[in-house]
Amino acid sequence: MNLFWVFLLLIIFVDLSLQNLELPVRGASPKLNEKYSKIKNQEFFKCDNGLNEYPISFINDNYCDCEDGSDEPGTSACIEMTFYCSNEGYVPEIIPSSRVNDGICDCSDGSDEWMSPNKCQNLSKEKKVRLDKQMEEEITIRREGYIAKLKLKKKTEKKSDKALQKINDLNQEIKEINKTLIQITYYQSLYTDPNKVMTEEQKTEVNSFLKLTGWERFKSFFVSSSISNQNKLQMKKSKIEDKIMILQEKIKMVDPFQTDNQSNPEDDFFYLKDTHYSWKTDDKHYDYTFYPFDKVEQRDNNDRNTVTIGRWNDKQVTDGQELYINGKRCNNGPSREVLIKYKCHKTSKIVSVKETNFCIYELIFQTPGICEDIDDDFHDQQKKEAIESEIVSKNVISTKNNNSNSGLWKIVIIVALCVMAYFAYTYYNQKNDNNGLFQKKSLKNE
Amino acid sequence: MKNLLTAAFISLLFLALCFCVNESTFKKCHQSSFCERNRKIQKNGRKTIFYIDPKSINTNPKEKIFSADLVRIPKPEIESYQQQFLFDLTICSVNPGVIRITINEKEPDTNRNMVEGILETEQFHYQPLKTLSQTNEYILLQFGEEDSERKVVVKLYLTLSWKIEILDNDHFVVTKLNFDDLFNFENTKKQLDLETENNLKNDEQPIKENAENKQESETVKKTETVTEKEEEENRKEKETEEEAEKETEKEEEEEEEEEEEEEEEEEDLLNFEERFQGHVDNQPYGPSSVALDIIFPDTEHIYGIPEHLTKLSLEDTEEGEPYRLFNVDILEYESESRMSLYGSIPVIISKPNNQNKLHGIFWFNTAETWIDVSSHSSDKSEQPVGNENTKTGTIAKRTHWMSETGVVDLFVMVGQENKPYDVFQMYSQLTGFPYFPPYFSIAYHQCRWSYKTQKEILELNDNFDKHDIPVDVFWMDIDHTDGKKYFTFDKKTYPDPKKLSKTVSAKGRKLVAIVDPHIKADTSWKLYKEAKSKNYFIQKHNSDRAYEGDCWPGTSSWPDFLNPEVVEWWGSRFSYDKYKGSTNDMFIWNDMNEPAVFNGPENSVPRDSLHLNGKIEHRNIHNSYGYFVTKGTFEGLIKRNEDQNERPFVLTRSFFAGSQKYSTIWTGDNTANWDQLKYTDSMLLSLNLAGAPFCGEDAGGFLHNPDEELFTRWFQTSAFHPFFRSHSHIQTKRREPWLFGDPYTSIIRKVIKNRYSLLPFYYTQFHKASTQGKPIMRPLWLVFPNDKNTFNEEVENFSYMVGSSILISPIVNKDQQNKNVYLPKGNWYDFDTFEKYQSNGDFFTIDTPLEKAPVFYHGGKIVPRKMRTRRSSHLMKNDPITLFVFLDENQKSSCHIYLDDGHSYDFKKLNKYIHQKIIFKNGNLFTTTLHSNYDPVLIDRIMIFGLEKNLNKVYSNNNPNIFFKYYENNNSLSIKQPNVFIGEDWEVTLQYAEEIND
Repeated sequence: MNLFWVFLLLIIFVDLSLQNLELPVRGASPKLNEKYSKIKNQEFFKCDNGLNEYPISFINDNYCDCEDGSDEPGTSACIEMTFYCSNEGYVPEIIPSSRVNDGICDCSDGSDEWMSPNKCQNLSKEKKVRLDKQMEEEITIRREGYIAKLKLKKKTEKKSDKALQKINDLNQEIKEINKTLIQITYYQSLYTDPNKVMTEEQKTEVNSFLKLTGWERFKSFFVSSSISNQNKLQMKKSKIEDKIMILQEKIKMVDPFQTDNQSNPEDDFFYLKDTHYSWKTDDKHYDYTFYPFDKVEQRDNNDRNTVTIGRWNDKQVTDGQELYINGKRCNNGPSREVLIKYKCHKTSKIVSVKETNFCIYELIFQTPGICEDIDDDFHDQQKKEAIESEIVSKNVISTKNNNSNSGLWKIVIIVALCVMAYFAYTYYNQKNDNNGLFQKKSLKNE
Repeated sequence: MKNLLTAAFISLLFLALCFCVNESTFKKCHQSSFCERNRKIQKNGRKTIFYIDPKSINTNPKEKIFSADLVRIPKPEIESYQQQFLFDLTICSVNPGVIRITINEKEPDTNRNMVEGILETEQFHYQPLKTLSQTNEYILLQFGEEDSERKVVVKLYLTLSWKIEILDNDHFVVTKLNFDDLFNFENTKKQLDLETENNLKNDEQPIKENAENKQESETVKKTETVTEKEEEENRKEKETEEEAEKETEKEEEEEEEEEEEEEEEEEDLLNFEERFQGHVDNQPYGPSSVALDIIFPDTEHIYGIPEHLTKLSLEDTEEGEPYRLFNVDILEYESESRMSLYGSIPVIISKPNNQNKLHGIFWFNTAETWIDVSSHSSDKSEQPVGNENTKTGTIAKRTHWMSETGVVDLFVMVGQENKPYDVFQMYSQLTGFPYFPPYFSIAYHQCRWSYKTQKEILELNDNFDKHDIPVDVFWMDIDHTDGKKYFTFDKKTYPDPKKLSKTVSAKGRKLVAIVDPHIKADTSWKLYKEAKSKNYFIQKHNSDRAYEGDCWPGTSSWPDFLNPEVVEWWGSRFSYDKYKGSTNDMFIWNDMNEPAVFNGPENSVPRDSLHLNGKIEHRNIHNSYGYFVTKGTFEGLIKRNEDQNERPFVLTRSFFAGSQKYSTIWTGDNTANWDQLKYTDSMLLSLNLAGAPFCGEDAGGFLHNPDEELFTRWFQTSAFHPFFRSHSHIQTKRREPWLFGDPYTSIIRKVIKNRYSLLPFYYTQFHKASTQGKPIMRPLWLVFPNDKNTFNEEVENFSYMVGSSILISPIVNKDQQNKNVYLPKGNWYDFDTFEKYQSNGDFFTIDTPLEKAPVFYHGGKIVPRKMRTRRSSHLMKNDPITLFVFLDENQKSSCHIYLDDGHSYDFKKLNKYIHQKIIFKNGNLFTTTLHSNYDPVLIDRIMIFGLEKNLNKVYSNNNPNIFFKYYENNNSLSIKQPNVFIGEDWEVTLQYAEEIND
């Protein structure tokens, strides 16, 4: 492998003789290249910190001259710097400079392994195709999710509209009954109070009231002050009170918002109320059950023991996640907690659960409530980019491991290529020389 | 997420934890009957005399071995007649400067046999023996070639009590043996049969009562007590036909009466059973301890006998417990304690006052051993010593070694003036040089109990990259196995270990899997069945059935590693076809090899268990069990590859002298608190001095949760330790470096990257260790032997050097904003800023905000580094080297550099390596090539610090004008791309400005 360094030195010497900066400068971002284009023909350049000035050939000569590392955008010579993978046709990537020429293909276009040109393939095109497909899928998922969310919201609204109507009706009914009850009590007092003498007007009023409300038949109960009649009246009254109670219960049944004051029908996730979702680990060892607005439980299928690993916090979902705290205490440890991460999808279910730290869990839950509108205006373009970079970073992790580096084999190829190039070169030179000689001779002849 | 099994062992763990807090799981000296007996001799003196029979002396120079009979008799003032017991004494010199003294019974019982397979006997070069003079009082023996500077003189006193003095070539006394008359050798007895025992009980009622009274306050219950002489009598009764018996029975009876009166006699109480914590230890051979006092005259400082978490210099133990060497599984050990830990190396290094020499002794005994240390200005016993060096008034260190059984087998390594590292070479020749580890294993390791699934490891693999932190190895603790059956993988959580290995290998990383020596007693498991059918397990006392105890998998048995066949068999289990799922990028961790048994006495195998099919009791070999486990593993890892050309990596918790040949040592289950961090460096220094340099601790502390500050400070010192691994307990919070957030993560990242940049330097240190036995971590006094300040307690315990090039003075206290750092005379350069400190042997106050731990380069040393720190050490393989040249007061500097392929034995088999010396003097930087047969490595930059003159020009043979830059602010010079290579000869010359003027 040290051949590379020899090779590199050769390149450097060649560079020195050339003196001019070739654009674009390897590993430099477009912005940086713009800067370089201005000094392209100058003899010297200044480090970014303005402290030092060096010959332009010092740029990317695989030696860190500037204390701020600004002379080596394309090599690993300066520490803690970055390398810009332009990935033509795909999304640019920025990698730590320490990954340049380390034998692993990091840039999608393979530009980080420039010392072994045949090592890495340019995967930009493939990645772009894949990315577009993924983007499409992801946007579809999100759109569908958003539609589902709207539907659910409407449903909730409709439900609540209907319910409100019914409640109003019921309340009206209660009001009426209550009124009657009050009146009767009042009339009763008129009849039974010995100190009061009823006027005719009042009597007419009572009679008309009783007729109107259908209480005429019970008049005898309160007209007479006998105890049995009084009791009967009392019974009658309590029956009416019972009716009120029943109506009030009905209201509760219809009105889901009154049962507790905590959840708000305006909440995007309101539709999850009183639902629950379960998920089993791959090894079937644990069942997790998520009760939105309540708790998360873990059931151990071996000892059939169920523990609460987090309780609802009465907090808003922020950044698509929410922490359920105060679960059962771990032995020798903290109270269990579970972080719920919401993911947009048209249906609701648990995607996965894992213990990320000692007694700290992470539950990924897909549901429409987290979905947001995606449109083509500028604002959403940003959103799209965010989605894109999310997918890209995921792809980076999953493809990195696919580098199949049969290093030795590649070295053999490279060495072979070098040797071939050498022979080709010498052969070419010889040929040239011969030509030269021939030319000289022919000149002489002339 | 705890399954049943984990729940089970966690509860066990709690149990263990409770035990540990309550120290009583482990014996104190008074609970160990032989320690108690021998300590009594210290106080009360003894009643017998051991003398050398002049008639038996054999000094045949041809045999190179001195031998004589050692005779034991009761003291004449006690007894009017002389009943004898005979021992063999031999003295020889196995290598130049190394004296071996052995004492064994004349007719040794097999039970006492010395453990084979530890000493490098094939490497012994017996030295010629010459008798210089012999008088009635003493005999002077000289070992060594006549013209050698490493001659050693042994002065053997023929006076009533035998004594030995060992003198070096300058006639200084190195050590004195038995001058305090503490030598003891309890000869083997046979257990009484029941009948005679009963008879004796009736006869000996008064004595028994007495004994019981005495023992009321003690935990050890001695159930059967008889006097030694009675025991002898009994033995003789049974062996009357033996002609060797000379004494008449009548005499013996008299003797017996005498003995009864002497209740304080050190050997008066004989037991064939000892109890501790409800465990009964059967002792069919009776008490069989050996003890000896070893004095280091004119010496203030002695070191060694690891493993203990305490101060480096051995302390006086008169007021407390002796140092104990008995390998135990201890969960939460204490700081500043002489309690026994997981491993033991019975080696002491002594530094005589006013001499630049180091001597060493090696007490080769694998049984439980206690060591008392004291300092007295004069000998206890007045001796006619005619040597000016032992005049009264000078301080001497006295040690009293007490072993439960075995023989006296003592090596004395005699050092030479101005060659302080000699003693390490001598010791390594005896027990083996440290193994030369593969390159990856000296980089950073990430471990936790446990990464439960292979997916978790893949996540680590990505996360380290995401956070730009280099790492070389991921570790798989016990949960990766199928039900704690080692050599297997859990199919659910580790479904495809080969793919896992391949994935991490793509970035040059490795895996380490745990393989413990307890074998699950599961008859459906082939491995167990095979071992059982072949009788490969340690056997129960008085039986040929396998011993069973409790460990991680539940009921388990332990292979008898004393049997070479078992070691071979164990090794064969590592072959790829047997260890399904293992790959050549997977290495091994041997834990619990003390061996640890949850329900055993002192958490280990009972001492009366049997090895070698009943030939030898566990008590004889206990401390060497872990050693033999790693031997099997190491050899197995070599043999698993057909070409046997890959260097293994093995980590062990338990160890003995010699373990350095096979394994890296870590200090077990430490705790995340400042007290533990404080003495961790001393603990590792002690291991380094005892010949085991490849060692480290769980960075961050295994148990409990370290806060950000402690974790960061811990890494700042751990990153300089030879073995650098982070590990944590299952019930602690996750603590991968990025979880702490900045500034902590950034500091830790920098610290790990520093380690990676120093790998070429470290690798050279490991090479030195593996060829010369040199410590990698060194106390300051080893590098600066003439500087008395380096023995200062603060300096000695809280600063150390790596090689002789880097000084680390770690911060081991909370909220410490500055530290007084001692820098020996010379130039020093700050690790981060390269600021120069000129010291005359002064303390400097260094500001230590969290991001700063005082670390200095030593002027006069060149440090090779690779500055492009990448994701793993493998990916830095082809990177160029930067030379950091630190000049001393004379504008000189130098270093050795060694490099090879980093993983194979080609360096040994094909001599494929580079070994060069790089020297800077008179303005020239040049090389001396000692060997060069490997790909040269480019030097892309040379930094020179402490340059006193301005420069005009820098040039080399093939480059007349090398670009350079001179930094006025710190007088440093940076030479750009000199186009020279490690492995080639070259010279880079600095032309000073004034030279031009001239």
